[in-house]
Amino acid sequence: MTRGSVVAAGTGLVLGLLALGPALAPGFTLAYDMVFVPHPVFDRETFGLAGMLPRHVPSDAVVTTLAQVAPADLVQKTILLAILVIACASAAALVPSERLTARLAGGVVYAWNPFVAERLLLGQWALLLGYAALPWVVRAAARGEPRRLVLALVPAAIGGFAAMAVSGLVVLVIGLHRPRPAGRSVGVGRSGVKRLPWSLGALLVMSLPWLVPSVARFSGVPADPAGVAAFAARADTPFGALGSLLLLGGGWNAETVPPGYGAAVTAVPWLCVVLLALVAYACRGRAAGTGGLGVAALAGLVLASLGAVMPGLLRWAIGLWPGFAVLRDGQQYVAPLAVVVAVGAGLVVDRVAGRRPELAALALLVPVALLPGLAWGAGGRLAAVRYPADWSRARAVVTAEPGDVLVLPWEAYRTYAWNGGRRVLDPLPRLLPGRVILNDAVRVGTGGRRDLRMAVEDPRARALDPLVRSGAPLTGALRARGVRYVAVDAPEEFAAWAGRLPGAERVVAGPDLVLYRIPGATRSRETPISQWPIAIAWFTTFAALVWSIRLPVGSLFALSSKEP
Amino acid sequence: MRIAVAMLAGIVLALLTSFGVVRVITTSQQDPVVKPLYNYGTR
Repeated sequence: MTRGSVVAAGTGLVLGLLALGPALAPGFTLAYDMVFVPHPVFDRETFGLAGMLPRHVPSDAVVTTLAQVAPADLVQKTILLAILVIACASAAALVPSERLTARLAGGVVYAWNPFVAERLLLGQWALLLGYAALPWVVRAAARGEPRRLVLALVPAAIGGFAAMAVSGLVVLVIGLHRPRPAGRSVGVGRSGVKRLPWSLGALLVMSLPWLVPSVARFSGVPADPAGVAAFAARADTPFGALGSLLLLGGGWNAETVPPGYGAAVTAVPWLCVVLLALVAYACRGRAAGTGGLGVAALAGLVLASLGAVMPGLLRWAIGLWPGFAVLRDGQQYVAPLAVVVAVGAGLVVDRVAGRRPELAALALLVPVALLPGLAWGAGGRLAAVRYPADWSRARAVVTAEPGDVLVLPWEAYRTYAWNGGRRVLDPLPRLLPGRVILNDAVRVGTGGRRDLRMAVEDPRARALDPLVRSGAPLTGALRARGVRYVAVDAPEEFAAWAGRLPGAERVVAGPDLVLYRIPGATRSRETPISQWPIAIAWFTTFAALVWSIRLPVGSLFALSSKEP
Repeated sequence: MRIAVAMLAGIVLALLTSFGVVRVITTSQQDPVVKPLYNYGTR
């Protein structure tokens, strides 16, 4: 690693410390999709063989592996900091300039912007892992070097489905791009035609851990076009949904907009920064040797806007083939645009630094000054907490006498008082061993109108759905269906569910969780998915990783070709 | 050297400014407890 890349990584670390703040205290940060638990264990859910759709594969498996050698909360903090470090370093490496300030400007813009803020607050650390390494992917794809591409894809591969979808878009477009022979592009390793199969092969191999269980379970996935309205991009600035996407924001969830973001006083200057960066990239971006990145950014913007501009088309496509649901939460596809903006910002600062170096240094602060709401865990929205003692007791009981667990209330997300009222996907499926049945149908509020409710995806939860919603006593029916425990983790509903569990034995009764044991329940008769295809998939990906690692990891940090 | 000093000063300033702004914003807001309790979020 060069001095420049070390400084860029250090800058990313400072930004990470600034952004996470209270989330770095001892304990776990639980926010929306960000769920980490103490002492995670491997089970069938970890590999996508049961339970929810394998969106958490292989990220959960990697976390579980790391948690065998370090405390899980430390693993979480390390991953979150690594995202900012990699983002800053990878983007800085892509800026075609000899000036460190120009490279750092690109890195800071890439690590500190509305995309990072909104996705971080939404708890999508796995997607952000892929986002962070996207500049590496861009360069590796442009060079047409399969070994480097596999290595660059590792963070996205760890992130799984969403991260690989975004990286895949970039790899595909750049793979199709034909470099100009007379250009200064570094994408001269292979022609566009030759490198595409290699790029697609690398994508496929690195996607196998989540792709194989997805295919194995695909027939049971309901096509649910309702998600288009729920997850379409929305305006979080005065410039409408499209303008907000252009500014790298526009996420679907109004609750994850950082404090203070979107007001004209900051949105207008940020718009100027983005436009200036885009102009700089259009004029001098070729020097970065990222042929096709501009097209990928444009394609990403189009995909991101589909749900907001042409929801009917997207609903029709999902009805035709449920796999198109990957486009529902379209805002994630503005990630390639963020790379363009970062490189462009670096080019602008490069120009400024030639005349006024001190002004260029101050320009590094612009992203932070225009988005101060991300600082300090977005004003406390990200903060570490400890799991209640009741949860540990419930885990001990289920570990001692294993059995399937039903989680109530019959909803996916919670706002626990012990978590400061922050929303989070119920952590019990990750905390308790064995098969844990949770209603994975998410509900999205619409600010006054009727909530949007998605379909249940877990087949076991789908089978139990009518029973749980019926209002009838549950004990006998759950016993017949092989459910041994019922965990109720919302104190405000303890009394209501107790009335529906006559004869169930209360084995844990605390202020935050009640665990019932259903006498006489037998093991479930769930049809298991074969483990062999999953094992072969993991082996293949791991073998590709070992093959790629012959290339020094530090080479990813190497700076791009410099401008004359 | 000048650039390094400017960067260091900038980072410290950014830290202080951000912390101050966010504190001002958050102290004027309630805790993020939003009803209903079970939504993934709100559009």
